[in-house]
Amino acid sequence: MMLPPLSMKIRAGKDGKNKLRFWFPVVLIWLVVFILALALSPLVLIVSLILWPSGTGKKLLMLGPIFFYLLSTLHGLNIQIKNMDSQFSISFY
Amino acid sequence: MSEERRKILEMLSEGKIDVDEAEKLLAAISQASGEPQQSEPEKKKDFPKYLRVVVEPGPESIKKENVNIRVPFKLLRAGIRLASLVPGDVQGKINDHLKEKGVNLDVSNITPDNLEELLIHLDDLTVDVDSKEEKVRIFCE
Repeated sequence: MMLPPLSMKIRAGKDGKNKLRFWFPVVLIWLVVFILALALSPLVLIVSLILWPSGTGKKLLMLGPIFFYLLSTLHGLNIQIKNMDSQFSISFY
Repeated sequence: MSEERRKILEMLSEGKIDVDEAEKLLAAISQASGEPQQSEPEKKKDFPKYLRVVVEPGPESIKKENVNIRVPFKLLRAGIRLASLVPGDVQGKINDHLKEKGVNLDVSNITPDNLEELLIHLDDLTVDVDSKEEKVRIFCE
C-alpha cells in the first residue's frame, strides 16, 4: 500500500551557504488532514448523496481517495532553484 | 530440438519452403510453446520513474538561474486522475481556451487509458531548448 511521504526537507540559503536547513515530519500534517477528513466525512456523504443525480456527488466522493493517492505519489519529488546569490530546494521522502 | 522444428528445417533444406516461411513457422512454434521471442527483452524494459526538467543559464543570462525539478511519474498519473473529476462545464471552458490557442482538442474525450499510453511513450521524450539566455532540458529517467 502506498503511503504519503513521511518527511520533507527544505534548504534555503544565500551566497552559497545554507542558512535554513529544515527537516519536517509531514506525517504530522497528514494526521491532522486525516482527522479533519474524518470529521467532515458525514457532511461530505450527505452533500454527495444530494448531488448524486447530477453526477457531481460521485465525483465529490471520489475526491478523497484521489487526493490520498496524489499525496502518496509525492515520494521522490524534488525541486531545486538556484541563482547567483540564493538557493532553495524542497524534497519529499 | 523438437520434431516440428526438425521437420521445418528438413522442408527448408528440400526447398519446399523458403527462408521467410521457415522463420514464420519457427516463430509460431516458439509462441505456441511459450518460449521467449527475440523482442521479449524490449518489452521488459523499465519504464521511467521521473520526469526531469533542468533549466541552466545560457551564455548571456543575467540572472544565472538554475532550476532542477524531478517529478515522479506516479504524481503525473495522480494529477490525471484528479483531472478526471473536473466538472463538464469546466471541461467546456478548457476546450474553448484550447481552441483560442489553436488546439482543437476535446478534453472530455481523453480517457485514463489514453493518458496512460501517453505517459508510457514519454520514455522516448527529450526536449532541448537552447537560447542565449537559458538552456532547458526535459527528459525522463
